[in-house]
Amino acid sequence: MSASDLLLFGEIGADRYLSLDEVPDRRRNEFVERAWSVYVEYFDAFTGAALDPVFHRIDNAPLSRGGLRFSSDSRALIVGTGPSSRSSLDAITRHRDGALILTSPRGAAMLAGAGLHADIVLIEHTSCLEAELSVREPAEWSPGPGTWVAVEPKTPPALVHLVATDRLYVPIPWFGWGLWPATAVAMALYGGCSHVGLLGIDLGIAGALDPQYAPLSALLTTLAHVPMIQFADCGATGAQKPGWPKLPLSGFVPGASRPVLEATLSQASPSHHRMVEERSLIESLKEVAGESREMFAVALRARAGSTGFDSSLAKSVRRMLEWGRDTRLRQALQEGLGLSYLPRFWRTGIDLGRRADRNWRPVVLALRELVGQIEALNKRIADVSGTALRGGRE
Amino acid sequence: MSLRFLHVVESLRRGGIETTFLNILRAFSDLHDEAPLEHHVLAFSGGPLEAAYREAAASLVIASSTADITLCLNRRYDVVNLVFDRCAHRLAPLLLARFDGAVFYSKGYDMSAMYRLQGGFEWCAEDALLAACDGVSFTTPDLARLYDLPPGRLTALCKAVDFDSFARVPAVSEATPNRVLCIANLHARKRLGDLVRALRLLLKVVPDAEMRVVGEGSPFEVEKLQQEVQSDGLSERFVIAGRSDDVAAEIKECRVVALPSESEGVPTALLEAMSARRPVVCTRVGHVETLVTDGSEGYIVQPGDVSAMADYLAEILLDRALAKRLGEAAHARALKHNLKPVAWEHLAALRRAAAVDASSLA
Repeated sequence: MSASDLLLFGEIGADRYLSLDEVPDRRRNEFVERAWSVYVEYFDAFTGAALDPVFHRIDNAPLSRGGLRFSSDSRALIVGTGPSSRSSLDAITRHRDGALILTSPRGAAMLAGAGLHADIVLIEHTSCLEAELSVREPAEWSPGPGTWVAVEPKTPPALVHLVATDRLYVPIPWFGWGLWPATAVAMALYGGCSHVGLLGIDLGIAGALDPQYAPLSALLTTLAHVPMIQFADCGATGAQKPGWPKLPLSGFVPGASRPVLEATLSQASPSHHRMVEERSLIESLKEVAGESREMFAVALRARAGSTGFDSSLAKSVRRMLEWGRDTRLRQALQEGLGLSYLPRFWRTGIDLGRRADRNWRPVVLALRELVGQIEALNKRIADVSGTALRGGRE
Repeated sequence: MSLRFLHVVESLRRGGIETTFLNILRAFSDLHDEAPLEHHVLAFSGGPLEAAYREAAASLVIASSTADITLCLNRRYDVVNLVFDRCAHRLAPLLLARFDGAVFYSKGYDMSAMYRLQGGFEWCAEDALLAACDGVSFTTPDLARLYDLPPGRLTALCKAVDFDSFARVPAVSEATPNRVLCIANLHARKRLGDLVRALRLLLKVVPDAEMRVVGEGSPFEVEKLQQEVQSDGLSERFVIAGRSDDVAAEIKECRVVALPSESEGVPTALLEAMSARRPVVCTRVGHVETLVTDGSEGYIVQPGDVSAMADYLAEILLDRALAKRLGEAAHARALKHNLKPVAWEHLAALRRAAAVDASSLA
């Protein structure tokens, strides 16, 4: 297993591939195939974790990008807010110097209550809806003097602005599947940790896994297959996690010394460069946008009960599926516009065989989103340009 | 022609939508229809309502993996009813791509609707989903107006309550303690700390007043509220009762129900109290004002206005005639949300979606 396998792990989670066949043979191995089967079984072969449908990336100020590396033999402790960590705050305090602590904003708030600060706080969400929940019900926390805060370009600006620190950065590479504990484990591994522990990532009680956490459990089990690394579950309670044997915190950090972090960061492109990229994205999608509007209009007429559109709808379906075979276009639509339905159809296919009169439904679903997102992005670019122009005049 | 429905819920936990939908499902079974109807349920995860759902539905499948869900969907259903946004976003693309039957989206006051109503969150994927389904229902006309949908595909339903069960709760009597009840899961958005502060003020004018909170919460939230109660020296008067399996029995022992939340949809707890002739004191949030008119069935205050809440609670506890008048008005208002007529309308909307499906075969 190599660093490249972790990169591929991240790419799978970012929905870069429609099938395992798209991954070059030389990069495929047992770890990658395991990750892929988790992707299919628990995520319906589409996480949506990389989507930015509300275009927060445009609203965020340019952020530093790069990675953190840790001293050799470092131990990383991924701290969640489950009951097993709440009952271990004294132990964490005693052993604080023995491990890097990675956590979420809610974890940081919990630790702050015990006078502790994490080394890295990771702000990650499964979807824009979950991100919006965090904006409206934010965790009350602030970074300690040495805390690094890892965000995504799509993290809502309201959450980014809450963090007053020059240690804010976008991790590159990114390993996110939308589930921050798994991302934190991958970051720790990529950064060079030799021991990774979980505390407060309970996922259930009394040994039994709560089914809602099955995807996260599967991801953690996959990551625990990385060789030459010691994994441990330092939580006394919680579900069993295959690959993560129970070990008390005192056993995980036996007299270890505080790991050292080294940051390698670069400045992001200035805003006006990014706006050039956004305009260029819109320009590149002009033809697709035009076709989409026409096909959408036909589908709406079919929805209203007009007949005679069976072959047009079938043609629309075939055209939408064709777009998925062009990897560059696929990336533009998915990562550029934040589309979620077309990418799913590229994976499931659309059944044209049975009821031709129903074919308006997937066309309306996919193209209502596509057309809407293009309009939304155009409007956002116009708003930002207008603001910049007014700023220039002032 | 018989019809097979599959209703998809996210979990079988005790929550507003899961409990409300269970009541609707039970009402479906009581409705007599000329055609045989089968109601099946798919839940992504289990919970305490499992036994109740098994009893109410023709079958219950609990499945979270793609393979198991697909197996369930492969049994023939005429209509798949997706309850709330998380279920809809997960399953609708697959259904709309590969499924013959109608797809119906029962969109209540879920997270995406709440944020849309509050402003600042427009989500194209949600609009696309609503546009592509064969039918959509909302729990208030206000919500329906937020989305641009053709009238034939949308139904504005009422929030439903098991009125008959709660109407049987005995009226307030002289023996009823001066108790304020709050039925709410312990969550920061419920602002239950405001009840502690309100009780402190209330005790100055109603010395035998007491407060009881019934609902589930994380150990963290329970501990936090307990600490507030203890530091105010109110442990004798403020009880955090935990979950209750018999909300009607809790309501029987109170004179008024309070809900101090900063965010709500159409609260079931208020409707249950109102059905049982209890006046309510609640906050001006969400769609509360579709249930309660200030001064008519109870009182409405701004979130965080603890002294206004305490004043109104005192008024109700001290003035028996006022409390009775408000309670009767609340009862009459709650009748409009009676389960059976709402369930009938909901079922009619589901059948219309199936009929649209059938007619397109012609």
